[in-house]
Amino acid sequence: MKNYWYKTALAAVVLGLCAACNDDDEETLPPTLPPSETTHGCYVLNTGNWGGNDATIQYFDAENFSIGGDLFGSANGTELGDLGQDLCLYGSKLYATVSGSSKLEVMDRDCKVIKTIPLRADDGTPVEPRYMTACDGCVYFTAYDGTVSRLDTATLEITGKVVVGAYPEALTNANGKLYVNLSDYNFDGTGTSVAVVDLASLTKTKEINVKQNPYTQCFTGDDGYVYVVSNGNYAGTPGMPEDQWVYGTLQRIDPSTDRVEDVCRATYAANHGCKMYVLYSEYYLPETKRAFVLDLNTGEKTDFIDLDGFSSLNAIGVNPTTGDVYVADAPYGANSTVRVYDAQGNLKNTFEAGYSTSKFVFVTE
Amino acid sequence: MVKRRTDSCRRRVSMCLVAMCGSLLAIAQVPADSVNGKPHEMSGVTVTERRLPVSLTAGAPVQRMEKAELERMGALDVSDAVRHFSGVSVKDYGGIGGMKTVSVRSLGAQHTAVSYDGVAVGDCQSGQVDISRFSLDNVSALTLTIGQGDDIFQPAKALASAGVLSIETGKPDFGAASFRLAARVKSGSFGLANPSLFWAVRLGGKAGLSFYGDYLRADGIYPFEYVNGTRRIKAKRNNSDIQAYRGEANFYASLGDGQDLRAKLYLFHSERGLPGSVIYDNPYAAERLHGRNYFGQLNYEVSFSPKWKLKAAGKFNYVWNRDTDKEAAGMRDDRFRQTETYLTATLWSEPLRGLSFSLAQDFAYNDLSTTLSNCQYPERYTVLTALSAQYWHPVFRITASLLNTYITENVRTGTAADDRQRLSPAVSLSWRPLPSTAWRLRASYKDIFRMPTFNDLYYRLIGNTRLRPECTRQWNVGTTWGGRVSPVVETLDVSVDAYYNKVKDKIVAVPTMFVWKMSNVGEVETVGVDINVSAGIRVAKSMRLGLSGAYNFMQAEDVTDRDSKLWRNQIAYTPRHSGSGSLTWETPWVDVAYNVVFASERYRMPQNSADNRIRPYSDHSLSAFRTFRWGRHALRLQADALNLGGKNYEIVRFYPMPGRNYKFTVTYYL
Repeated sequence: MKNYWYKTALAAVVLGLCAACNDDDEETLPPTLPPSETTHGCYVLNTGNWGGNDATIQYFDAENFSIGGDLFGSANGTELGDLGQDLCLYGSKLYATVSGSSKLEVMDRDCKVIKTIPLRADDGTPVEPRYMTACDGCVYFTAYDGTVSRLDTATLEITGKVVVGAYPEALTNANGKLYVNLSDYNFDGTGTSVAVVDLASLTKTKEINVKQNPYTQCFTGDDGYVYVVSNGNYAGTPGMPEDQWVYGTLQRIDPSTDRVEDVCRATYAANHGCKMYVLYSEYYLPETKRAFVLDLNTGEKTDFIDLDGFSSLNAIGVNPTTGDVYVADAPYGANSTVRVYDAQGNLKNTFEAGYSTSKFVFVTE
Repeated sequence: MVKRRTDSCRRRVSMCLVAMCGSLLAIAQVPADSVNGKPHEMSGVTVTERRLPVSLTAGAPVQRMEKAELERMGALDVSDAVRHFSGVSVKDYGGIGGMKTVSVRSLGAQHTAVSYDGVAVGDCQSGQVDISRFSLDNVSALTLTIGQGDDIFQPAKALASAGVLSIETGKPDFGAASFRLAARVKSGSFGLANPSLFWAVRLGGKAGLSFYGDYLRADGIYPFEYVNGTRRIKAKRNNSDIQAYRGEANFYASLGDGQDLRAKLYLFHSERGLPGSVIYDNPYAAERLHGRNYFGQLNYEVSFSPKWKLKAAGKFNYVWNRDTDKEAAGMRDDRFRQTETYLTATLWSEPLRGLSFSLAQDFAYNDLSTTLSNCQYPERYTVLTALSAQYWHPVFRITASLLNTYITENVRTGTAADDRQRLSPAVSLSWRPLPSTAWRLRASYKDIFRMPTFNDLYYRLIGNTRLRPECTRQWNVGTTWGGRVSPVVETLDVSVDAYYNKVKDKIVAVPTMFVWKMSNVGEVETVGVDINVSAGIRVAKSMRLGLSGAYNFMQAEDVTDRDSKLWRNQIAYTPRHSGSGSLTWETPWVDVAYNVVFASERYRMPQNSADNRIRPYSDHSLSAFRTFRWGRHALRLQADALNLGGKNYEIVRFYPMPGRNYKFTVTYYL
């Protein structure tokens, strides 16, 4: 008996030592598919978890329906960083804003880094870059110091910066102007506008009032309109009077007049031709949950897919070549699942992505 | 189970028990060394048979560490010591100023109550107590009770959580002296300086007054290495400095007729930097946390007769925090203030020999105000009533209790959560099948819950007033044995427990489209085994070896949804295998102690994928100490080498722990 217990006690100590011995085994990176071997497909940006340094970029081969591993990690030997906020393909290069790591990565199409641009304000605080748009040889990105910066894609130098307002998020360009969502970051009702910046002079010309909290979506539609989703004020919050509810709403701005009109209720939206694919849900009003296709010409809404199997919708994208619709589900505590549907809403394929899949960047040429 | 406990310390327990019968002013705060049972400690007390420690006799797992063990460990704060308990995981964000919380058997920190000299230390905002703010200097014992304890003469609050960590501070043993003094200086790596002073004075025959104060500062700038992909990067932690003051005053009096009174005033001020997690390519950290905590408590106890006792206590607790950060968007400056007013009374009686009852009634008021936009200024009234019964027989002891909880809340704006009422039963049994031996069997069951915290219910956007309480059910069966094996192996204590826990309605933040919301999702099923062994071996006449080991197996799996990716995944930050070990070698020249804690791999996320894996670790430390005496004076010198392996292992992912570091302590006693 006595010996046995001594051994157990010793075993416990030895176990600890062993645990110490074998904690150096390196993990191998999963294999990846180089995108140059496929004719068309899409880059998948996985934002990752806050403080988790687990942002990744994958490539999905849309012809063979196969998904690769972490492209950035295998191309560079280091991880992308913390919170991959946006990914932009422009010309021959890929651009990624990494918000937590406060940097902009410029890469070739194999995700091999060409230049890393650390982004700090003059006083050394990280500016936390957010979203991007590209035109006329420049990439424009928002950052939490309240600015939009211009990156020259030939020299890869930042050539200009303009203050637009607090907590700018998604932005787009249309008609020689930038449209920048000014979000309601602090949820105090102050984020209710879209800033307009003149591209030529890089100066802010005005703010356009929209519904509360224009956030992660601001894009130029195939019809030339600027589409903005405002997330509202969480309609249905217990104790909030109904007349104060602001629903998540898709709005459009005519870039020639800068006039705004409501389109429909929405949380996420993606455009393809005259069709707008919309996912909508209000947390406190679960009965509002719906996925539909809006015909922008007729205003007709057609039910698209059944959302019951999703736990937390996180992104939607349309492949401009095939018209296939990609929907990302980012469940609690686990990696995302992406479902690929045809334009009629029939499920074509499902693949596993990284954490918090937030963007699909399609390769069309 | 009990670890790192030697004979002298057991003797002290016995001595205390003997002394407590006579006078209240008993426990030794004097040179608390563990060395070889020095004669002065034993004077006037004859110990004929070793009294078994509570860890072997209790009906539920109880673990206790006394002053001597705590000192031997080279631990700086309570959390360093608690790590050595069985079935416990301490979440440690690294460094001296890093937050440290304790979770019992994978249930989560919010299910562990912390009590300080008999009164619970609450945090209505986050529900978890940062135990790094308690210095070990002033602590005489730490006790961890899992499930239903045997002591029924307790406030109702003591029954209201799945586990209780109780911190007891020492009462001075004056002996023949009229005062006691202990002055200590600790110094160590990363700019640690920690002077403290304890002074106690006797006021007449039946009263005493003591003061304790300490100051702590550290730069916390420690080097660490991390791996980003295939690149190994060396860096230093920045913005992890701390500066803290702590003061405590205690008054004790025996009022006669079996009445005792204790009063305590406590203050704590701190300012620290929060280094945050290691972020690739962005080492910036400027967040500062200022904390103030004041409380006063009064305990009164009276024995009307051997069959009737009453105790009552009151406490007022004030906590203020200021959290600032310099961000690109501007300066952030948030303030939080919470108060707790707590009253409790417990009546105990033993109408028949061996059969005792108690009725405990608690009342608590909590409120929180913050400078965050949309602060709802919540306040909570809690009424707890506990009825307990115990039957004691030389062969067995059975304890049962029923707790009723009633909670109502108000908010200044918005909607408050609904009122809640719940009944929580608990039962435990300890049985000695062969009365001639010290072999015992035990079994216990407890059904308890944790309330959603103010953050869970009302925090901006993510709070959810529709939350239900998070419920836990704990089953435990175990066996213990303690005794003398041979003249060489003077003591051998063994306990083995197996347990099953079920958590329902786990409260977690869940993404729902672009909003994160606190939600009741999740069921967790835990199966585990705790094995503890400790032995005292007399190597030579004045040389003794203490050996102890603990091994814990814990399989805590998500059983929420069979179709989810998380089905049967080990829950985050829960090692399947963990444990601790210690070896102490006492000689007439110097005492040496070696300690180790280890944990197998863990996952930082609910999903057990390779990229979420956190590597196993073991942390070894070595301490050497000696006490010199002349006349009434004593001087104790201690040197500690901590994390001997030197690895910057992680308990929380991307919060590297300090590598090898050293500490020196000089204490003067009078």
